[in-house]
Amino acid sequence: VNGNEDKLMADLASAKPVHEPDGQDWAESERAEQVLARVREATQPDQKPRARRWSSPTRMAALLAVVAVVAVVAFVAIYVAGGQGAEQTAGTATSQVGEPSSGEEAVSMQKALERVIALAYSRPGATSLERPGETDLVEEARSLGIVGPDEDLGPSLLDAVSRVTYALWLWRVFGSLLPDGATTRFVDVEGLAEESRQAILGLASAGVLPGYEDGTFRPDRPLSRSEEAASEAKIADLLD
Amino acid sequence: MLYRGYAHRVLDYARNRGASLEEAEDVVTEVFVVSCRRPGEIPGEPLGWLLGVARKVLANQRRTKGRKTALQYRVAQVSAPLDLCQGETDRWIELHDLRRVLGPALAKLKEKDREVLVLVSWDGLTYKEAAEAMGCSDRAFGLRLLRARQSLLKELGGIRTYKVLEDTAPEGELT
Repeated sequence: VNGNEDKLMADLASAKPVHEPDGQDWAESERAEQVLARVREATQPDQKPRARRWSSPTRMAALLAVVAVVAVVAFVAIYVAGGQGAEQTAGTATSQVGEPSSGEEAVSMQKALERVIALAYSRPGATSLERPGETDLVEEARSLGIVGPDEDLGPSLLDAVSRVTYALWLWRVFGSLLPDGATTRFVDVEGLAEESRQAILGLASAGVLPGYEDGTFRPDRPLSRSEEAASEAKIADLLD
Repeated sequence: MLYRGYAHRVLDYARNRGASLEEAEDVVTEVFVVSCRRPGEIPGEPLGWLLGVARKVLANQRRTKGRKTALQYRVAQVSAPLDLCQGETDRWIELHDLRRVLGPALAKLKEKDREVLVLVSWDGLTYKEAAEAMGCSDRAFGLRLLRARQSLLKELGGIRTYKVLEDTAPEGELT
């Protein structure tokens, strides 16, 4: 039996298939070199083929992780930017004499009111008025008709005065004395109170407190020191 | 270098199991990529280990392509080279008959039985190398080989029938 099995194995070896080219011929051919190049390419470090070995679920998980990280970063960035924007807005509304958006120094309500009161005493026909002694600034302004009897100027006179408030104060003192100028229109004053809108248009027409080149007046913008000085100079010119 | 010494053996291994030249080259590529990434696993005599990897790569390749393993051996379809035919017609007929008899019987065996026989007879591995390629001990491989030979003889119609075939075969070496 063993002899037969040995003969069987020998016959089996004899029946080995024949290929063209055989292994040895192939090993000496260009094809073997090409296969070797493929091996080297696939085994070089930091190669893309290694990335391709990832399974689809792994790729999907990695993709989702990247998307999640990007979303978190974007959310944080938006949140931080929004917070800063809110802080800036709050600063404009409540801070003490902050910087106006143009970069110029803003005028506080106290300073503006003092200057308007001083101008009121210097207006024509007011020479007979006697400046009262030590008194409350707001009450003095009320007595001169600069501030209305029921108007609330807010918690602090150190807050920046807005252009519309300053225009209103000037208009109440000098509105009747200023000459009519060219009709002026602004795109951002329609929602204001009638008196405020009239003050803005009147002062702008007289050239006391002009608007901006883009057709806006920007009533809520803090009044800058240069704007205040220019307005006082213009009023002085007009009243001379 | 490992590739220079053994790439052709891996190629032959794949082709002996029915792979085309291109498919066999893909197997060679995969085997040596694996060997480059796992150099610590390669034993001093690497052939058995390399063919063990090739066996798994080939199985994966076939699973991917949905091939039928029963068709992987094309022994009966393989012709002897033409230069053997010239002036040696008798030997060519002998080889042709041998393949015609052994091929179908081999194809009917279980995959593992067929593999142990072919590793030794076609791929020329020692028992130790073949055991490594199969992922088993030398002793287990010896037992498997014994059972595989018996199974092949059974497919050939038993010892008596094969003895008739042996008696009718011409004298001399077949290779």
